[in-house]
Amino acid sequence: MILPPLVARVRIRTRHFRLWVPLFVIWLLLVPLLLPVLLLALIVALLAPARWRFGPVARGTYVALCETRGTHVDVEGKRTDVSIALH
Amino acid sequence: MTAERLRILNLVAEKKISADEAANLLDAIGEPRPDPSRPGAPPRAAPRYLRVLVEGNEGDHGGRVNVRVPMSLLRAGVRLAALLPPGVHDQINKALHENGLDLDVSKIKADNLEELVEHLGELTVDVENRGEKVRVFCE
Repeated sequence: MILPPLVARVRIRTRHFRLWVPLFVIWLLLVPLLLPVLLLALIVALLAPARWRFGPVARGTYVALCETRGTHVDVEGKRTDVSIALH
Repeated sequence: MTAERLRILNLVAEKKISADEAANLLDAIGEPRPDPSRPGAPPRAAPRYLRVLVEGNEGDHGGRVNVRVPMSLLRAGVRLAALLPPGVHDQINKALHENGLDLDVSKIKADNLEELVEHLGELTVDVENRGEKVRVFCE
C-alpha cells in the first residue's frame, strides 16, 4: 500500500527554525471531511457532460499525492535559507 | 531479458503492481534498463529525480533555488493527464498554445508513459544569462 507523505520537514536557517510537521495527523483529520466531498465529486462526475472517469481520476490523484514523497525544495536567499522536504 | 524481469513486466501489464514498484523491483534484482539509443553501452540506471537548479547572480550565497522532484510524481502526473476526457484536451491544448507551448495532451497515453519518462531521463537543460544559471536534469 502506498501512503501519502507522512512528515514534512521545514527549516528556516536564519531564525534557526526547524519544524517537523506530522502530515499523517492532518490526513487522519481530513479523511472524514473528504468523504462527503468525494461523494459530491462522484455525483458531479456522473452528471458532467465531459464524463470524467471518477474512479481512475480519484485513484490517480491519490497516487500523485503519494508520489510527492521525496520532493525537496531549497531556497537560499541573502539572509534566509528555507528548506522544505516531504518524507 | 531474464525471467525475473519478464515476470515483473507482466505484473505491470496486469496492473498488479505500479510502475514505480516495478522500478524498485528491477533495481532490487540489479537489472537497470538498457539504453536503446546506445547499443553495446552498459545499461543506465533509471533516473529517480528531476532536479531544477537556479543560481542567481548575487554571489556565492544568494538567490539559489534547488528543487528535487521524484520521477514517480511525473509518472503519476502523466497518468492523470491520460485520464482527462477528450473534451477537455482541446481546452488544455489551447491554453498551452496561448502560453507558447505547442503540445497535444491527447497524444499522451498511458501505454507510452514509461518511454516518455525514460527519455526525460536524458534531458539536460542549461541556461546561462548575465551570471544567472538555470539547470534542469535528471539523476
